[in-house]
Amino acid sequence: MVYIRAIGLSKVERAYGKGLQEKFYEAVVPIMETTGLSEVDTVIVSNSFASLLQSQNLLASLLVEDLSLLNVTTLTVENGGAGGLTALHLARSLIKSGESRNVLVVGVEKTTDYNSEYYNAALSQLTNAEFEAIYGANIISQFAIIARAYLERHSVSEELFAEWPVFMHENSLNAKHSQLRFKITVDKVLASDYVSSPLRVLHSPPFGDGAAALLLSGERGEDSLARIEMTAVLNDTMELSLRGDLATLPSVKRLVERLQKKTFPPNQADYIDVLDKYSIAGPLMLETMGIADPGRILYEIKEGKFRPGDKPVINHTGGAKARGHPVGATGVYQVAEAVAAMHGLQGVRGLDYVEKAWILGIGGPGTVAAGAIVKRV
Amino acid sequence: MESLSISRFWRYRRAHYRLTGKKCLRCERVFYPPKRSCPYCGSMDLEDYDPPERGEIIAWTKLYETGTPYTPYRPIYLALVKLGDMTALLQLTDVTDEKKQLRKGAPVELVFRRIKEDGSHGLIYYGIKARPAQPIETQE
Repeated sequence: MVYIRAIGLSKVERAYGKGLQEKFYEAVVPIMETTGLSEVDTVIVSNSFASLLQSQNLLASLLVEDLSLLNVTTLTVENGGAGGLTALHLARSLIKSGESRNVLVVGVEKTTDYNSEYYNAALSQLTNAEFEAIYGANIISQFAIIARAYLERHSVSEELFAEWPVFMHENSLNAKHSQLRFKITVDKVLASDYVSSPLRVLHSPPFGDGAAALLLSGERGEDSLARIEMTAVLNDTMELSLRGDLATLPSVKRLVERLQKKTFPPNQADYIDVLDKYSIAGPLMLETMGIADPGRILYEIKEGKFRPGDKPVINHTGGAKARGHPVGATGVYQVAEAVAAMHGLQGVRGLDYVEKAWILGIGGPGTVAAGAIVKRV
Repeated sequence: MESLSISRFWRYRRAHYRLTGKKCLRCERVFYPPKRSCPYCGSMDLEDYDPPERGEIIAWTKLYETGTPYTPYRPIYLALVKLGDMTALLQLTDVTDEKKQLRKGAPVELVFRRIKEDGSHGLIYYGIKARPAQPIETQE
């Protein structure tokens, strides 16, 4: 069994005064102050764009220099927005195999060092460089095409689609580290400009810098906060042209099947967090999980379901839309937040009834899906 | 940010200049971009497939948030286009009437255009884009 012993959540923000090094350190401080790092033998860092945006490789080895850790195994993981959950999957595998005993997993991303044009070019790297990005495509255009297919398929209006970002902003108030902590309205979403039709500015995650951390151990101790029941990572095609049905995410479908086979179905979870890239990925993933029938989840959200006190509560901290989406860090945030909600830690509104959580992420336009099932101990 | 590379573009010239995809000889499905195994049945028994020059839109978007080097051209149109048995993601050009020309099933035809350029070195990539076409029945 693999246990989560400590967590660290830093503010998702436009941190012009902080680099990768500072955000990384900030996320690890709460772990240093609780369990300490003396038993750590492995450090896995999840990050997507440092090689491009900060001209930096070998990230894990560089960043641990701030922690006085020597003779530890260091790994850097890149798997797009699924990177954080992929790092967790690797950490769990290393512990289960006996290769590692105590693993520090940190997701860190700095997206605000350059202007949005430069960052958009980075986002094009989540598509096929030779055959998609070459025509100007990026992750935004790919989700826009998926969104159009979903809206047309289920006759979902733009008004109804706007319920997702409204819901996420409402939830952002449940966590102090969320980037955009304010409410918005459907009218405000519809008045915002298109970024890639039918997606608007207020469907999009904000640019932000973030870092979050988890300390994992193979042994249950008095300080254990949660147990990782299962993790998995599964692929799909990168190119939309190779997919039969645009209004579904096949990688997520297969991932859900694999996870529930070994544990329990998503509708038995108390807490669900999905990586709602460009808003559309939220409804798609939840419907793939069977939380609502295809095309129906937005109606249920509008009716007021999935709020604190409900089972399941969904995207409690505001999702990619409002918590923010520091790409390689987001998966680590998702898991740390679930644990924080279980115990009321680090500025996350506690939900004392939450015992079982399903956490799902995707890299690229569903090119890879990763998930974790976490139980309170 | 990105410099153009002659070798990187040239090695895929059949794809860039003719949109040559692959047809699976086992399941008979056609796909693009080309791969060494069929994404549908896994067979590695494939042959080249040159798509017809006319097709139709499956889904499209008008992208404002482009990255460098597309910023001067934004917004750009992108669409998944069905060309015979093949589907490809292409940039749409010469759009003059969004409501009429951009919808599921709207006809398009392939054209040879400038794709990307490297301003500081003067290199240019040329390749295929799609543009709105007249429906077949109204053509003379």
